[in-house]
Amino acid sequence: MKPCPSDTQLGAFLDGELPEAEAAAIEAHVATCERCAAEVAAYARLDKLVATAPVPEVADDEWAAAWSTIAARIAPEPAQTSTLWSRLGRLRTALVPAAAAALIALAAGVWALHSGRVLVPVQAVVEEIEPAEGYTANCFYSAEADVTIITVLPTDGQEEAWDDNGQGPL
Amino acid sequence: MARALSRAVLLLMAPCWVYAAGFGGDAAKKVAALGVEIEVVVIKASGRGLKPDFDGRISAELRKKLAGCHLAYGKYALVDVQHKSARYKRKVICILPGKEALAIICTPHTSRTHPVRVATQVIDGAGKIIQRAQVLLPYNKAFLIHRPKGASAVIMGITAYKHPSKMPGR
Amino acid sequence: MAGGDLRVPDQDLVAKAQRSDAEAFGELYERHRERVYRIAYRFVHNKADALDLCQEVFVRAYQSLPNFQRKAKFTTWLTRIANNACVDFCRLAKLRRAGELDEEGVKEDLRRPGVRPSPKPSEGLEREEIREAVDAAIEELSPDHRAVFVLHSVEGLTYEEIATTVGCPIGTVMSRLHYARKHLQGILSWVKQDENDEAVSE
Repeated sequence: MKPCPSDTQLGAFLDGELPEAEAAAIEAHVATCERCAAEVAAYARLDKLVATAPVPEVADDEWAAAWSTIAARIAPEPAQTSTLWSRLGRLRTALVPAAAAALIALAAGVWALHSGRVLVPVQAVVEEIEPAEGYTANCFYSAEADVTIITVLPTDGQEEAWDDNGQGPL
Repeated sequence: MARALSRAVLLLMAPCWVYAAGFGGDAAKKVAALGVEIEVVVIKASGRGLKPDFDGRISAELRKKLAGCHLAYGKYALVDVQHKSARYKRKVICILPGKEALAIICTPHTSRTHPVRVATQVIDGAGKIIQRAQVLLPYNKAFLIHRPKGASAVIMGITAYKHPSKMPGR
Repeated sequence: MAGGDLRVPDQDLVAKAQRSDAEAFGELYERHRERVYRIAYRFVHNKADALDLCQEVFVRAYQSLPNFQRKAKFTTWLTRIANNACVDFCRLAKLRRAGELDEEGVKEDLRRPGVRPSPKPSEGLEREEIREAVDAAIEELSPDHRAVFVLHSVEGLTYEEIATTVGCPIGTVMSRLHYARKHLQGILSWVKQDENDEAVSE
């Protein structure tokens, strides 16, 4: 009597994943071998059980609620009112020198650390900023958005055309 | 007797091995420990306005951060999202529009709240480094580099993820 | 889903959604939300979590639309996003529970063999009891095993399809499926199902 195929093979046979010749061989074996037949039947029962097991019903309003959350997450948001930063307009050069800004960021980071269990957002710590000659850089932490933004631009504010031939977004 | 005992122990342990082996992903975890997953979101900001118009494909998180900086741009368009796996201390280059580039080197930092140091270099179309910046960060938290160019700007949202499964959109 | 769809094909809706047509994306949501919910529910066994996951899947799908090549099938792509989201969720949940060992211990007890609902000898099990039994059994699988088993039995994917969805070799799919089947077989062997049961759908 031929040895029984492995259980993995029996599974593959049930799932129709075996090439014809192998599948035929196993089919022949299963016809005569009680143990393997029982195994295949057990797998089939399990598959059917899980496939037909019910899931809790979802009401229409629950679907609608889920959709409104999705829509909120993917839709654009209105901006807030302007602050001193935006009123600067073209003069986006540093009000706060880089070194001082770095120190402030460092202090804030240390403060967050000492607050014990950190419930305040952990800020990025800007260790250094080094613009090349002819450029100015600064950094700014927006507590409102919990983000650190580093800006770099030519010192004399010279126009630099956006060099993309209108390519823009994907 | 001893042999029978040890065999019994082996048999008892067998399910544990199968179970442990079944978890898979251990090799992947080891590789992940050697570096970070970096995400760079490249955005073109243009125009002026108090209520900016955001490209719907920019994640809500990033939109909030951009809005909170109050940069007074009227429109934010998504140009590119780049994901790079980087080993520590190895330079990773992200190509930006207009032949510019962003070079990033991450190194681990021994701090509970700021476990990664991200060093960046903004490189212009001529290959000249126009700014170096070094930031200490928590994982999964973006910081922004803002490069005004004339009336518009490139903004890059840079995030270091410790494990690919934490990265959005994968 | 009946064969012979006279509606706008998925690919067209995807093309519109890629051009920021929210209505088209809403239509895609209506068509595929049940399927995603079913996968999520079989994964996490909690209606609220499954709905959250469903939501997360569609948000991720929308954000990844630029990466979707329209030659591929939308359903395959969406299933992959759903699978990743579910696995992520389970891993996070595990990490969260790892810090709460006592709670974990208690939870485990509820799923031990002794605490199963006893089957009524004459009638078949009520649907709710079947669901609970299946939920509890799948809960015992690790996220990786769960993924392969759910994709196989709930979605009916081939080994090849599972391998591409999960991102592992077919051999791994087979061994994980085998392990899941062995494990679940033992736990669920006492569930007697009427052999003539038709597929139950909501």
